[in-house]
Amino acid sequence: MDNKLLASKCLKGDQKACKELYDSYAPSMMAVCQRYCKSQEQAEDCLQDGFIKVFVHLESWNASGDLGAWIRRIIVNTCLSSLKNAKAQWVNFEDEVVMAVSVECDAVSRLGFQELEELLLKMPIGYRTVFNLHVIEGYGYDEIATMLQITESTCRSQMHKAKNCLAKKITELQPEVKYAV
Amino acid sequence: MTNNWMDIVRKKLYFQEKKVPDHIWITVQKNLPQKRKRNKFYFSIFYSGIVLIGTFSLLWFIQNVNPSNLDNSYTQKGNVKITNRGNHPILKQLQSSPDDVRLSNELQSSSINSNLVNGIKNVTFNDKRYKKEKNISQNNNANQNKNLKIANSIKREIFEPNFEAPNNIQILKAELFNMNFLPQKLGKIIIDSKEKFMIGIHTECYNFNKNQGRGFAIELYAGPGYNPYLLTAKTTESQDYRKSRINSESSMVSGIIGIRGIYTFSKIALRAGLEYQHIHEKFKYRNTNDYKVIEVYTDSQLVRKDTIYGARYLSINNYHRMLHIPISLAYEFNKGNIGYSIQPGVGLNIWSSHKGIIFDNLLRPKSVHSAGASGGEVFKTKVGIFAFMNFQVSKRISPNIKMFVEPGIMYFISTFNNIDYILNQKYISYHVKLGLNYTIR
Repeated sequence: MDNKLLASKCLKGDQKACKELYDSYAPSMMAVCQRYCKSQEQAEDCLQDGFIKVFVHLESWNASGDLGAWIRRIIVNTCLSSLKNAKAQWVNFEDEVVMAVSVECDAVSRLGFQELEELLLKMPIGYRTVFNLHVIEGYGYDEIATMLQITESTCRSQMHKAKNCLAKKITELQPEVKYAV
Repeated sequence: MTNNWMDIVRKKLYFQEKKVPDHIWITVQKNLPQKRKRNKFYFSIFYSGIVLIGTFSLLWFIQNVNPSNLDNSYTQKGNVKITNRGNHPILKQLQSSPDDVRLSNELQSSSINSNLVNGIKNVTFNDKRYKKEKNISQNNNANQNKNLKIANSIKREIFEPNFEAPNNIQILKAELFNMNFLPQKLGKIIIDSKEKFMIGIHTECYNFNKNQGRGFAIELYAGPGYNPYLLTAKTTESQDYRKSRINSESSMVSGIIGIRGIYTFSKIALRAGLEYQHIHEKFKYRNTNDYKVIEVYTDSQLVRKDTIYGARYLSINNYHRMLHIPISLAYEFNKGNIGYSIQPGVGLNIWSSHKGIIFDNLLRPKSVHSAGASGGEVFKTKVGIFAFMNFQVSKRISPNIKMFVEPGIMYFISTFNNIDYILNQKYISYHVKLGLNYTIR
């Protein structure tokens, strides 16, 4: 069903349409929540709260925009609020000189979803959040700084650190691969 | 180049999907926003309007059947319209000397032809659905003598309690009656001694129908019903579950009650209203693994604890309560005093509530309570559309009231269950409605 039609039915209180919308987006949003949250329980809570917000504020969705992206933004914001409530610590790396590192594309390609996700989850929560927001969701540093209420430079340094951390972990997983500076 | 590996990470993770636990949707569903208030607002305005119209119509009806208001323009069946009664020469004479009324030739002819009969000269005569209009003044001269006798006879019939007209006069009256100017039988004039003449003429004459077959009416009805359901399995795996449900549940006698408005034109009647239906079922269950723990206390000290294993029989009443808007287009015809009506129609269920216990797919008893906003997992809170066919037989018990019996059948086109449920449950409802029909005009 067309998203516009689906949303209008949801707004009319059609439970079938609500279920259809939920079934369409919940699996991908569950993956988003798991990447941001510390535990499975927290991820489930975020998904639940996020979808309640989606249905409550569905009227404010601009029909010309992508519904999936709109829902994703709400879910990401819900996860960030949850992390904020859990008092996630943002480490300021302003004074630290960070060296940009990279790994070979083949090494990343060889990794499965599961392995990649596990590596990501092993990163500290602060790195992981900035990495998710910048690399996966595509937010700019200024946007991330506003969302997390930290400075832009902290964002950048966290991002570099996160990249290094992930590259290291990939290399550890595949010793034959060396990461390039 | 440095960001290429991150692009791959992004591509791999962005579209990743994970299995979602079922309980999340249940919680989300419970918190879904209600239907927009605007709809409820229009809905309530619509039905308040219907109730108001109904109330005013009823008040109007009650006010107009009051005998004190029969003075000027009442033309329902059984009554005769008399215009300008206050200036009627007969009544003027009666006012002066009610016990000694003599009709002069001039008065006799004019009273019958011009005044008394003129009062009803422009009536619409409705027999076998056609109307006739005639003016008696054209025949004044030819019928003068005849009318003189008739006038005397009518006057005496009206004012003298024990007077009965001779046969020849009855024949002349019958002729006049056949010309559609005179009611078949005249009632007595009731004289109010205080100063005002109150006329209550009750006759057995034809229905002077001015509405050419159009009219409004309200019907109130209630009656018993029986509502078996049809269960179909969506998959072959759910066949056993279907059989278990059929074996464990049975239909009981239920009920239906409603109000509807009717607009009649010629032999066609459009009915629309509000109907409440109550479906009653019984769920019977035998739990062979039931147990009961008996604890024996002495001075608040547990001294013995026995566990008894056995079978327990449960009998639960399941209810489906529903509100419908039925609309029908009927064909109506009369044979004497009895009316018949065939009413095919469609309806919309606008609200339903379900309460009770049925088996779940693992054959465990499960509550299907669904009153409230969230609705249940099994049944819908708005069932949808249904089709029906009623056959009505009515009998007129007063000029404005008919009593009717209406057997009918309803078939729910929409299923009662939610889309996720593994069976399709549809109902057929047989019912007999008993009710009253109030003709407004």
